[in-house]
Amino acid sequence: MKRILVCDDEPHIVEGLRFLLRAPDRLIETTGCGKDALQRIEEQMPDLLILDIMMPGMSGLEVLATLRAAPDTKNLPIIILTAKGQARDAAMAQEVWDATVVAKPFEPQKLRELVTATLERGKCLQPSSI
Amino acid sequence: MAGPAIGETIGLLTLARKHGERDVYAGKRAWVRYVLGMQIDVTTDPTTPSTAWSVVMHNVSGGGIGVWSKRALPVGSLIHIRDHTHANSSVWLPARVTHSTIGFRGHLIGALFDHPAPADDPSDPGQTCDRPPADESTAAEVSERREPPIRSLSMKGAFESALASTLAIVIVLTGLYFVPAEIDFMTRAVMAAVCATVIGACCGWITAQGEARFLRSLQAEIRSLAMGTGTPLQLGNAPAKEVAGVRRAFLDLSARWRKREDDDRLRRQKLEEITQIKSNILSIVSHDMRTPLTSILLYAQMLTEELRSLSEEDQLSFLKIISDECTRLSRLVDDLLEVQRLESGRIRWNLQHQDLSATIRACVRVFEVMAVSKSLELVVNCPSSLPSVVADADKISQVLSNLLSNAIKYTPPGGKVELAAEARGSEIVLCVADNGPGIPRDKWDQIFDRFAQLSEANLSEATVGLGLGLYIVNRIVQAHGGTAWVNSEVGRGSQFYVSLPTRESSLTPRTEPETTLSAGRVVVCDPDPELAATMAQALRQEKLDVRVAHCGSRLLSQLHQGDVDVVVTDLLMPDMNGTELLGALNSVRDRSFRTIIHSYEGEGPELTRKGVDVFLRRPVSKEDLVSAVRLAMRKRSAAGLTVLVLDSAAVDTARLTCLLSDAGHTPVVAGSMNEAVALVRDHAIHAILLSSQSLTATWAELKQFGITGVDVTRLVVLCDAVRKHERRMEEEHRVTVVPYRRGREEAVLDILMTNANAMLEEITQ
Repeated sequence: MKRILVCDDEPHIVEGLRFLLRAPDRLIETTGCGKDALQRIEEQMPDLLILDIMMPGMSGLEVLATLRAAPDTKNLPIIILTAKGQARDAAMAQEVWDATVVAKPFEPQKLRELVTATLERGKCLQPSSI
Repeated sequence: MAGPAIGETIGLLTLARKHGERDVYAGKRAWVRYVLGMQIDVTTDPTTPSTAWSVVMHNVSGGGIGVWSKRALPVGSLIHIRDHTHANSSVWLPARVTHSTIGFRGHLIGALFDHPAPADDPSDPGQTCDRPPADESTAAEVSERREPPIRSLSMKGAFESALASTLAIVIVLTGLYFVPAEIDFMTRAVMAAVCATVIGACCGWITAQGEARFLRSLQAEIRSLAMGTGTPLQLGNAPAKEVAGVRRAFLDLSARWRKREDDDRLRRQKLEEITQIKSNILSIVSHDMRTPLTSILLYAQMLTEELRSLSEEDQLSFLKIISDECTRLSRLVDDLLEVQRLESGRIRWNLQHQDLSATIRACVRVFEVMAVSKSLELVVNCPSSLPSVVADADKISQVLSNLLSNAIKYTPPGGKVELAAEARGSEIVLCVADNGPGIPRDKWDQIFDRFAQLSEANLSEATVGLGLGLYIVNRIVQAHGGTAWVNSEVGRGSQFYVSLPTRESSLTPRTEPETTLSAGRVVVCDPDPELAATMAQALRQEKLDVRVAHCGSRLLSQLHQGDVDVVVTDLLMPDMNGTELLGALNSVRDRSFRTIIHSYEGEGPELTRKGVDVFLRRPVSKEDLVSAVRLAMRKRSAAGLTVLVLDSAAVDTARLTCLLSDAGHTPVVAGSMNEAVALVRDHAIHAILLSSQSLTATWAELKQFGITGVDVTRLVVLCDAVRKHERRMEEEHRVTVVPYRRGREEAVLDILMTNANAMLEEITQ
């Protein structure tokens, strides 16, 4: 059973992703807040984290930085969703903190493939390498 | 000289005026060119005081200029003219009146005279023959007047050569006379010649050293100007009086050049700011549009791919989500258009007397459904009728629906949203309270003033994704003469307030609210949002453009955006104390705003010393506040100077500061020269008043100002009499020297202020 944690403050997107990524051998958990996501990861390590950048309170980049700073989560596969049309954040997430960056609006089919591939290999992939 | 007909002269004068500045003989004659309208001195005798005349034409009918005056001048009389383009020129050019026009009371009001052309002008021989014998020097004087330094330099060179030659001849002759006769004549002659050459060379070398030093510093300065480096002027002293002219001209040129460079830099900064605003708008809009688009795309594709496998319930819920997100998108587009209309001022307000209770009830009905579907409690506290206000009902319901939809959106299920309306004094206050996540204090202003944030390089996360709703609320409420503010506690919830005036005076419907703004911009800063809002509203009723801040850092960021005339602030801020706040206010670059402090703390005189314009002790009445802002605004529009007074026994500091303050300037007092230097370095000070007695070793002290980076042009030296020494000081260091005696402070102020405008322009621009 693979565990996926989806963290986004937009309930529609969270629910949509839960539906899109559902599979018999997957457990999909959701949260709308960065702090909560960190707490859940501490409780039980997921196999993949899907993280939105723009969130109230703690932003996705902060969550990412915190996770990468801890030894346990240094290699946790993370997919970053970004709606902020700024290449700066995306480049930072990808190069500095080793995460796969997917721009919103994304193509559902492509995201599904990316998630499947990432779960198989257990590490971050670049969208082009699928 | 034949006396011409009066009619002919009038004709010429009219023609000349009609033709403006056109010079029909342009380029043909090497005359002194006068500009039409220019003031020139005309006198019958160069030793008597002259009268200023205006040039009405020049080069008319073969040579001559026309001047216009009320003084009578008979035809044929010899006159002398002098123009002001060369302030130091004392050259009078003789000319003879050839035509005249008699005006009403027998006075000559216009005159033509032959043009004072240089004698070497071959194209106009008639010019020279009319000249009186005294004209012999004219040619030399004219050319000297045009290029004084170079001519004088060569004259000086010639004089020195002549001196050296004379010396040489004397030495040769003495050598011939004194040297013993046994040495033959040729040897004596050679020895004498060698001596003469050595002496001449020494003289030349000494003179050249001084000039070379000056030329080197001039060269360095020109290079620094060309490279665009901003080093202050450190030109060496001119070795000769004539070169001092070159030095002055160069100083003027470089001052102008640096000003141009500064202007350029400002323009570039402005452009960069606009680019930043554009990219931030794009960033916000793209974020706000991408989020609903993502949902639409996600659900639409899932529907297409898995239509068969989805239950009917899922299909319906997916379609519902798509339609919700489409509504959100279209609302965003509406908001953007609304903002654009509000910003451009093209909006048409349908202003009528309204009882807002009906509008409130209608609005609530729409949101009751939404609240129920999110299992929220929506409580309405509104009397059955409210005092009438002049308002656009549609716009007010837009305000309410923006506030209510935010409250419902951010309140978790099971929470409570409350809408209250009540009449408070001369206004109606509406409040929408929620128990959502709350807003931290430093975001209180940003949420209402989103576009003001756009010039900042980094958009704060809080402003992105909030939509334009609150910004629209603020603009609509402001256009109604009201105020919107928020009070919130993180984790507990927020209360959004809107106040609308019911006063009789505001009953005239204002169709163009834009024109009432921009009369003056005030920033009101107070940690208490309600007090800040009340003060802001009082000032808005005075037709001022008011912005609100609740902490020091926010106040400063508003000030750094510029265009602020007056700041009204408390001394104690959540994020800084009084000293820090005053220090920060004083260090705002290009500071041109006036400061009003209202506080329980602090002493007026002490604050005035620190650059505060008005001090109001709390509690402050509305009238006091308005009159204080008016005073500050007057001070601001009087374009007052910030003047530093160096305290010393020779100056009546108290009286001087008092007078400066009354005249709309801001006096700052320094106890010592070092303190003055420090203040000038850190603050925008336009002028420094100091007694010449404070300058112990005058030159050394002035240089110290130069070295410590304070430009000496701001110095105003008060001395008991302006003598040669002081004149030199004025010339060499470009300081302003003003005669002063204790008790005659008004005179100082007058003289200072005549120079003030130039000073202000030079430094503030």
